[in-house]
Amino acid sequence: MQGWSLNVTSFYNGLGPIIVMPILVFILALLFSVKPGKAFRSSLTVGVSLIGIFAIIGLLISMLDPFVGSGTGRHDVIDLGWSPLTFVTWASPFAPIVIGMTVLINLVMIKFNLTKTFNVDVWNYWHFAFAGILVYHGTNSVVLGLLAASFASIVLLKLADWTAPMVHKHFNVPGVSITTLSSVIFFPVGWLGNKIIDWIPGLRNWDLTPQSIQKRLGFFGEPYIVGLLMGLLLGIVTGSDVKGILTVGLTCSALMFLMPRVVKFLMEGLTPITEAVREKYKKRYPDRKDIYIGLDVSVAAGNPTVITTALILLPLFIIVAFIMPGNRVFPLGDLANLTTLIAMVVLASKGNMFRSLLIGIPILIADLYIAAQMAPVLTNMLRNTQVDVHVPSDDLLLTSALDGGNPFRYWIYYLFQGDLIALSLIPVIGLLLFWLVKDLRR
Amino acid sequence: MRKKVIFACATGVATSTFVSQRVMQYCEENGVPIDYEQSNVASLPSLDNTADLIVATTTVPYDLKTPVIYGMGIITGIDEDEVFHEIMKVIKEE
Repeated sequence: MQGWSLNVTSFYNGLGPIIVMPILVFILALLFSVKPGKAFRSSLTVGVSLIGIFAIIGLLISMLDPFVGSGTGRHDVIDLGWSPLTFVTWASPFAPIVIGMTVLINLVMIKFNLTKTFNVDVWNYWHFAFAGILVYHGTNSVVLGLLAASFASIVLLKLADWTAPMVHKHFNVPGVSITTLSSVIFFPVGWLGNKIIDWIPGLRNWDLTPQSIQKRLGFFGEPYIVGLLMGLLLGIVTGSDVKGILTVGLTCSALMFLMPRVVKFLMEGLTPITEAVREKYKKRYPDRKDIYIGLDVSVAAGNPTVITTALILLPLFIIVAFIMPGNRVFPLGDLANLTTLIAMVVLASKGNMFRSLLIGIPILIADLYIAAQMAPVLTNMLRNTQVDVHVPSDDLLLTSALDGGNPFRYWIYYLFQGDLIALSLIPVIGLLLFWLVKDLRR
Repeated sequence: MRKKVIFACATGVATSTFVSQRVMQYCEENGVPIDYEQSNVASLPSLDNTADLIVATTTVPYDLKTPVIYGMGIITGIDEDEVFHEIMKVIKEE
């Protein structure tokens, strides 16, 4: 197995991910019975998107480095959002393998009645693949990496099953379950938080209503304005001159504005595969009303409480990043993604905004510290993608505040390296989930 | 004049791309090509009145002047044709 993995790695490094990736996506699309012409186009789109993402990351780093990398600020870990993580994932042979494996695991689990969810959200399979890549990075074992990715996909199917009845009721999407790792893993946290709040007299009766707050915080919903403000702030805290402050401001605004427009081509390239998986679902289970269709947390993102909670969390996140002792992460890219983080906490709080905020803040704090700890790993991964790009000086680290700081993947990273603390958490998490399932049945 | 449609989802990247791809294809097959843009839901208030239609994969919690169609069916396949017809109705309007 070691030999095989070495061969894969050398083949891969020989050609470089930007060449290999489209080829793998092409083969994968053919395996999902996509017509060759369409498969070719989508694989090319994936390649183009990867180049676009890399160009933007490279440009940003080269523009930010002289200011941020000067080592004057204590926030030397920049949150670029989850895009660089998707880049690292899609620039690795893990991604296409995990896509095939995830579908296979899902079909087997439905066959043996181990899950009710068919996860058609191919786009978000990268979350599982990325868990695998982290473990591969930590252990140098392809097998452990693939096991970790499978483990993540299975856990998410189970969490999607358990939360489905609440998702139907509160988000009004019958027949749907949510399988997005970066969101659903916070459901148990939100649920536990609610149990704790239930014990606290006074506090347990509090709630907030979204309407009035929403209008005043509207501009926080526009990522490129948030980017500009954060960039200006970053320029100020790193002690730049006026020109520097404005440059960093515009650069950060550009990150928020351009990145989604490039990353979307990755999704576009994956559309035929997503369609194929969806067709498989429709054909295999035409009248199975008991099987949920596993979708992106987007279905919940427009819920007024979710959106308002996220808008309030945004400035709180920035404040927390500045007052938490020893925090090195400067939140930026993932400020646009707080709805994803909080959606399932809102669900666990049954729409209580006060509780969602109260539980959201410690989650954000944990994410910051984890993101800082994972930043060297993530920065190295970006360097190791073998593509010639401006890499940051050693003073500047890159991360994603939410997805790089994701506690579940952090746990998996250490678990599969045999870390004792991570191992000893298994019974704790197991008991917690056992209690959760029992509680949800009631 | 081509009609302009905004496709919205949580981040303006994932589900809105899938829906935009399918709607674009459907419109072209029906001889009425459209222009489009993608957006996150929270940006919609500032984009109001800049397009003829918004298709969202989530509920839109704002009072907007631009008509909004809930496009989840295009992803789940449940009542998919109805969603396409509804979109066509707005796009073919003079």
